[in-house]
Amino acid sequence: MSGRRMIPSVAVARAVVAVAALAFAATSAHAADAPAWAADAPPDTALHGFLGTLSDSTDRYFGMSASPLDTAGLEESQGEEQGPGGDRARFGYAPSFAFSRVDGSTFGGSVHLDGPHRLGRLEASLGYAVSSKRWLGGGSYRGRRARGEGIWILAADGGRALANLNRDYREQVLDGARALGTGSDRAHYLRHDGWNLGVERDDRAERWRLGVGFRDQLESPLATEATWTLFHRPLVVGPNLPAAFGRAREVAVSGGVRLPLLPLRLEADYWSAGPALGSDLVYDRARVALGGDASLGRLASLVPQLAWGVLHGNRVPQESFFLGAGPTLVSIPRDALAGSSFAIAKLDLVGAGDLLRTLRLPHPAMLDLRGALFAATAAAGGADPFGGPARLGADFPDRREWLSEAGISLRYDPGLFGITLKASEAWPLGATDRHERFQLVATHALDLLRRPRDDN
Amino acid sequence: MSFLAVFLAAAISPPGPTLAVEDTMHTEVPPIVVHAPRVTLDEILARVARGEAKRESLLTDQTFLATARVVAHAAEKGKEPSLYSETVVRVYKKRPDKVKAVVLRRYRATPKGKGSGGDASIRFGPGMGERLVNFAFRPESRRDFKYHIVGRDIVGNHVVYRIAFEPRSLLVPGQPEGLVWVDTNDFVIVRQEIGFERSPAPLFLERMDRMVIEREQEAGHWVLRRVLVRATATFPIPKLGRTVDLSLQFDDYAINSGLPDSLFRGGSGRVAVEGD
Repeated sequence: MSGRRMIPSVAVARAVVAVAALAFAATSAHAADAPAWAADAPPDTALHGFLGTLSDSTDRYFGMSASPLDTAGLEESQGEEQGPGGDRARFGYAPSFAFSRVDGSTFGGSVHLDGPHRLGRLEASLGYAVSSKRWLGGGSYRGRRARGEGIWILAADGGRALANLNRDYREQVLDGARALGTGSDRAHYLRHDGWNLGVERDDRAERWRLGVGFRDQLESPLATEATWTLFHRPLVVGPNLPAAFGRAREVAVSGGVRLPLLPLRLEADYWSAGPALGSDLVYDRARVALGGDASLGRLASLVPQLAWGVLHGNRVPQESFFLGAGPTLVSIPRDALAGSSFAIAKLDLVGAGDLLRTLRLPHPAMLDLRGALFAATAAAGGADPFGGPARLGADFPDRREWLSEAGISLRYDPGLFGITLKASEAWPLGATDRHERFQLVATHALDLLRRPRDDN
Repeated sequence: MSFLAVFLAAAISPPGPTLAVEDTMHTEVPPIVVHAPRVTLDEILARVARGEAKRESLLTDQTFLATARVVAHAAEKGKEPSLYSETVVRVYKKRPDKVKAVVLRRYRATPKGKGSGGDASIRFGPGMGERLVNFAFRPESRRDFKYHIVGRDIVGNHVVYRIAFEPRSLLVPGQPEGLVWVDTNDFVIVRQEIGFERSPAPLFLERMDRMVIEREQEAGHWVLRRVLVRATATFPIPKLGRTVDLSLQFDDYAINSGLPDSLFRGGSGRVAVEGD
């Protein structure tokens, strides 16, 4: 009976259906996982047929969006050519309001002109500071031009402005909000009158960048003028640390490079001002930072960061390195310590998943929070701009000056301007009279390094 | 067909046992053993980078019709998808830096009125490298992504590799990941599906549902055919709803046709798209 069998017809039908189903399943699995054969058709027709099958499924998914173009009535001669002369220049304006304890409320506005052909943005602003009774404002230009694998950026500004004494870090929005709301702005300020020019060549793939700049600015101290707050709270920091008065004519060189093989980025900045440039202030200032991240599977990122800075010459407050809050130590109030040298080492372990989902807490999709653990140690050395005795370590902080902490943080990336909102709680480590401290900052992922270019 | 035959045979045959006749031909095909080193993933990635660079280098000028479309309520229960806007543009490109766009049609479902937001714009650059397709496969991107081979499809005399990529860094959420189909005859990407494990902008965008990029072969050159995106907003957008499709289609290509420089005088590649 080999090759011949007596079987019931219903069973045959069932068997055929089952085999057909199995064959279909096997074919599908085959197509999905490894070599599919369509050798019957001519070579290119077969490829186009293969891609066409994928396209058909895309058509079904996207429906109307994927429907072919109806070319009826498309008359080239009636086309609306973009131009003439290329893009149109675009004009815009916006009111502005700022608040600080040195200027009080500053009401004003700005106008800008976006040039055609990506010629850049020209902006002018004017505002009146009510408490310091000063007009502030000026003009600025920022242009960006892609050339081959490089991007050239030209930035210039001039006028009278409020500047932070801590030139390495400023929270544009939150500083003002804290000052206005609760008087808890701890930053210190100075006045800049003059101009600033910088040119930078940035690699399109962000492998390296190099920039040079020059500024000629009269720097002057400011006193606290506005002691009121919206919620009638007393100022947390009353007096404003006075800057040294003088003209700063300074050259700056800035560079950054992605290290080969390692997931790290190195950045270095150098500023120099002296008599050769006609500067009243004489100093050499350098800052080096290293940071990166390594993924631990798909669970978390390990983020090590290091920075070191040193100031030689006139150790004026406005060129000092500040320590406290921001990207430095959470357990120290903002800019509470400063010196002519500083160093910091940080390590963050940032969870990759949605924390609330992991904890099975119902939440709206927009609230995508990530949790993190961190530890940091930092110190400031050398001359103290607050008037205290000089600390050990003019070039590198002495080991007795180091302060350490560990903590937890929640991070939220809203997808706006590359910022990360970070709420942190830190506990000091070692023998110390510091206490547990909370801070909320708007920052970015590698906060000791410069913010990644956002104008790709 | 065979199922139908068996079914009919079963239907017309008398009840009870039936004699089944084996009519299948048996044949033996000797296996062919091929001794060749399998191409490694690194080699494939290097060849893709070279293939893409070669593809770009062979293009001196391009002309095509680009259609930008916005579809409202693309996938919402109880609402039919509706065309919100369509802009058709004839684009001319020429190496090294010439580009010109001529708008041929502008359609908007609802007239512009008070409360309309500003229009979006598309800028056609002079480049023909199609970074949108190969951004994860350019040599400088190799250290930013992890890759693995998902499968191979043998289609005629083409071997098409499917290669998945995902961002190496998890520090910044909302980075793209995806799957590309690579035709190993030219080592050119012929199709790409991009996904986002997490929304790149959770404040506004609940999720990117799907993104598909397709290429087609025109006069022997692989060029963009279409880019289709479906996104779900966190909050309903007036007139557009929560689920919106954005599509860019490219038709009617003419490649290396020797466009004269005079064609580009006074032109630009920037086009305002009715899309709020």
